[in-house]
Amino acid sequence: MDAAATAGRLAAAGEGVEAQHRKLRIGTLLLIASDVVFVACLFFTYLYLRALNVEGRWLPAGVQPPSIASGLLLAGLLVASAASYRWADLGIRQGDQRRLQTGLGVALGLVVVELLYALWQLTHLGFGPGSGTFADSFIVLTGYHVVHLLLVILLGGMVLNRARHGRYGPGRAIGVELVGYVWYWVALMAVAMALLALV
Amino acid sequence: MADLGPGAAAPGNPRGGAGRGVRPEPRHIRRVLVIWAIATVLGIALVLNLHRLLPGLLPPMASSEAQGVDFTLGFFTVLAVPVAMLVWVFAAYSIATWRVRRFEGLDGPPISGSPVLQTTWILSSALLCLFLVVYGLALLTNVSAAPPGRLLTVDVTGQQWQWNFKYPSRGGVTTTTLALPVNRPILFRVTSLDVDHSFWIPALAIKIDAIPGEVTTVYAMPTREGTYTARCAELCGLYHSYMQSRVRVLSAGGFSSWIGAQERVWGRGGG
Amino acid sequence: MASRWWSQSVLTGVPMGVVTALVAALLTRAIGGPSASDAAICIGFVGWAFGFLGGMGAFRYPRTLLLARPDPTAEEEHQLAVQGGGPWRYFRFTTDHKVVGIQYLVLGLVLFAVGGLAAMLIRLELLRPGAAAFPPATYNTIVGLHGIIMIAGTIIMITGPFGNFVVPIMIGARDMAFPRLNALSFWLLFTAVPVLLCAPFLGGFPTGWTSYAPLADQAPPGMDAFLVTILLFGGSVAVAGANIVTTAITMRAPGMTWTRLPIFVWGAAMTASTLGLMVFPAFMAAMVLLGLDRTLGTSFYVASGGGSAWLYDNLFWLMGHPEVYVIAIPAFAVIMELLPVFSRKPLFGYRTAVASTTAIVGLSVLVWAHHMFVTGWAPQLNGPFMLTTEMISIPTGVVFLVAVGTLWRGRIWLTVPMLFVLSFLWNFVIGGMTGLYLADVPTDYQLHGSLFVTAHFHYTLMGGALMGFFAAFYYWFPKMTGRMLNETLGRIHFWVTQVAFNVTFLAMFYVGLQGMPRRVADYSAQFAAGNFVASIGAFVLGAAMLVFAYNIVSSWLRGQRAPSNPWHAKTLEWQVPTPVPLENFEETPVITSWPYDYGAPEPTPEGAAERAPA
Ligand SMILES: [Cu+2]
Repeated sequence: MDAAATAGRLAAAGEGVEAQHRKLRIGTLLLIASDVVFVACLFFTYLYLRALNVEGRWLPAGVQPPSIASGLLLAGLLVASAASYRWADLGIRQGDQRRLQTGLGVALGLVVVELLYALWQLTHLGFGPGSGTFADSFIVLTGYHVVHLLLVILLGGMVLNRARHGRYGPGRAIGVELVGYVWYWVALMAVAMALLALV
Repeated sequence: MADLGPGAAAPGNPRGGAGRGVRPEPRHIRRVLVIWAIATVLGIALVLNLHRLLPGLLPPMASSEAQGVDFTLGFFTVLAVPVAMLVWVFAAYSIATWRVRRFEGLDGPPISGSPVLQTTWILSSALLCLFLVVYGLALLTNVSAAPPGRLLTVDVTGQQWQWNFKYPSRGGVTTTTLALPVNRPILFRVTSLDVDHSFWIPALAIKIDAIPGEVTTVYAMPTREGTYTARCAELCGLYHSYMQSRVRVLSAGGFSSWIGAQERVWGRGGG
Repeated sequence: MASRWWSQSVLTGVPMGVVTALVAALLTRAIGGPSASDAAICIGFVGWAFGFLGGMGAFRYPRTLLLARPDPTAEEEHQLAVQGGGPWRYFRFTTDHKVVGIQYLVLGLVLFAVGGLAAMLIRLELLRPGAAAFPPATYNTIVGLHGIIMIAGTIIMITGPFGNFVVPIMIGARDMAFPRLNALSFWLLFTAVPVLLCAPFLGGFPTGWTSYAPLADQAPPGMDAFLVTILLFGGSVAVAGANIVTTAITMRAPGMTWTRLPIFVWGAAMTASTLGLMVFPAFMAAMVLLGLDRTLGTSFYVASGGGSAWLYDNLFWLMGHPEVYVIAIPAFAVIMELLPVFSRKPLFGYRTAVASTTAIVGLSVLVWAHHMFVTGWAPQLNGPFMLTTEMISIPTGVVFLVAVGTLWRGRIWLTVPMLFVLSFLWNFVIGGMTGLYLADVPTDYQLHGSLFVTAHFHYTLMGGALMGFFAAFYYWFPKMTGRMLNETLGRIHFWVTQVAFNVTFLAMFYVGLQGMPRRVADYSAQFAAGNFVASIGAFVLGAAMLVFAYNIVSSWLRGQRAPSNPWHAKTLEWQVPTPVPLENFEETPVITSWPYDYGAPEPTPEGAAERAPA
């Protein structure tokens, strides 16, 4: 009875490590779910306008969509980055600090490359907002992707900095895990955007 | 802790409600059902006579669509009365019978549910809902199809803050008041030049939004001559309240002479 | 940590917000030139929010994380929850859930006062045909302000104050899952208020709260204020929603199983907050696209550029209809929470009630296009959406069975909160039944966009949901403030409100059926009688709210001291002392029974909670 009550007290007060982690996991996933709905609405916008504008109004003269390859490159960079992040996360769960920092560094570097490429692409499209509904939908999706990348860089920088200060270890790596959810979701969105180019 | 304890019983089963120490009062259900029946009859009588008590409750019903709407409004209200009375009479009866002046530390019987009653309630509301859907679908099919007869097309264009009506079969006659022949099916093709408007003729019980870049359609079959109003029913900016046009439903002869005169005016003006 | 009393409070937040706003707006304007004035306004308002939150100290913890500084000590956490303990903590970034609950309560009441004042002005304009109390642009802005303030106010009115104050205690927790996010959600909400109130000074907005595009595309800069308001509000709803849901899932005391969870926690915390979290982003997306149309010249909603007003309608109503359940479900939950207490009987059909609430949430995301029956978008879908819309009346109807079943044979104690619960039964039946005409497509062709619709949703949102708020307010006020509300004033407030409300909106049904459109500034003489009655009813309603306001202020200041359990209720929040101590419970309670076992053969004498041995 005493033991059960003590365990209960810890669980209720959110003091138990596992309870704390579960709380953080659920909260993070709920906030990501909210962002998923936001992104889904942007995709809905793209597809709705695509369906509405059958002929030249989707791609007016002079609007040349970026190649499918560039979308695949953006998706590929992020998937590789997410994989490296995952590798780092699994490493620190076994206490491998070196693997954590290496994996994080690679993941972060790939995101920075992605960001630079996305910004370069946005400024070298040959069209801007107001050049038809493809242009508008593409720019808002890519623009929001850039916002995501900035967020990921901020969070990734935080994790890397904390990792260098030795703040993570086996059973103390929940922060790495949580940022990972954001990372995977942003990578997933990049993949979905690459697929959108096929529509 | 199960919510359906052994003492649970339906209000429909008067004996079951008698938990330990509560005197059975088996006639409540019968009494409340009688009151419910009386209230329902009175309520339906009131609904059926509402248009006498409140003259002008509905706009003049001047189209076949409007007659359908008129009937449906009354019919749904009649259907709603017994359901509403069920809630109100049972609640009012409970309050009147079992209210206490102040808290005395006593509890009511531990009835925490009745699977039979809950299932019955859900099933009967599902049936009622199913009926409404079937009825609604039938009516919807009816108003979505063109009424029989030789169709007259009118192109309606909304703009801030007026309506323009164009008769494409009459050489593009364009007016700011609408004239329609009685007993002839009309097809309105509606669009907007600027923002969303909504083309509404209450007397004909038709409404369709005017969306920029799109053409929306609605049929009407005016059945009564008279002068009515078309209004904008979607907030469209500064003078939304004043976005109205006169609608005249004319006899077949009256309409021909009106449109003939318009054609001559239009021909001169456009020539 | 904060050493000076004024630091990390509104005294630092407001100046930092204003300065950041001005810098951001002027920079944008300088870079973008005169064509960037809408962008400057939008960015300025966003800057205000960030600056304000920075000044409040909201970013201190993220900075700690980012710079890998040592984690806050228990003492620092404690300091953040107490903030000196005096009234000044209500103006600081305070993490105690009870402080946040009171903050939400007061802000909600202020919003109701402003929105109610706007309602009075609308009814003044509509008192007689031809009366022009306001220029048309001003009038349209008043209509829009009334709409959005009341919608926002009713969204937060129950989950904000009571979800924050009551839910953690009800489930036996010491605080919310994320106390800092809790404070953040409130202050983020707070930043939205001045932004919205700037709108009238930026030319207003002519669109009503639905902000339909493309009218919103061509609107004056007040529209920018509106859209930033929605973004800030949506952010607050998401943060608050994630926090409340996580709290209800993970912070329950031992023994608080899902089937022992108070129905209020189910309704307000679990279902309504999830729904709010999941649907508001659609409105935010709609507003972002609107902002891009207005600032960057995209044409998402502009037909000439390939966009479509129907796109806006879909995005808006994807949020718009579930959102009315974000408002209504917490009220249902309050009704079902209070009925057992004042009927002294178990809640009738608890599991069915929980299942129905969940079913409403599920169905609510499938009905949005019933707001679009007359838009001409996809007429072939009108039938299916009529089906889903009418289906949602089945789980909604269960609420009434639960209510009547609980009342039946109870020992009904007609306190002021109970009166409001009962008025819900009257009003919401009318609101629900009139919804049937709007769900039926052909009758909706006639009634859509008329004052009939306005009356209908006021019966559900005001007659139903707001009455639920009043019930909750009178019920939990003693626990939250330690004072009882004056009962005589409460009864006056109740009766005048209930009568005047019904007079106002029955008259509005009448003119709606007659064919009067909503949101008009003027109308023809045939609608004069109904409008006159509606206006008089509304003014009386306004007077009733003054009684309410007086009751709040006088009772809060010098009302009778509240005992810890004035209603003899069995949920946990009534088992802790009043005022509630900082971490609510000395010992974590262990739950051994259902909170509604009134009249149980062997009732637990001291309620649901049994203290665990020390
Ligand atoms: Cu209009």
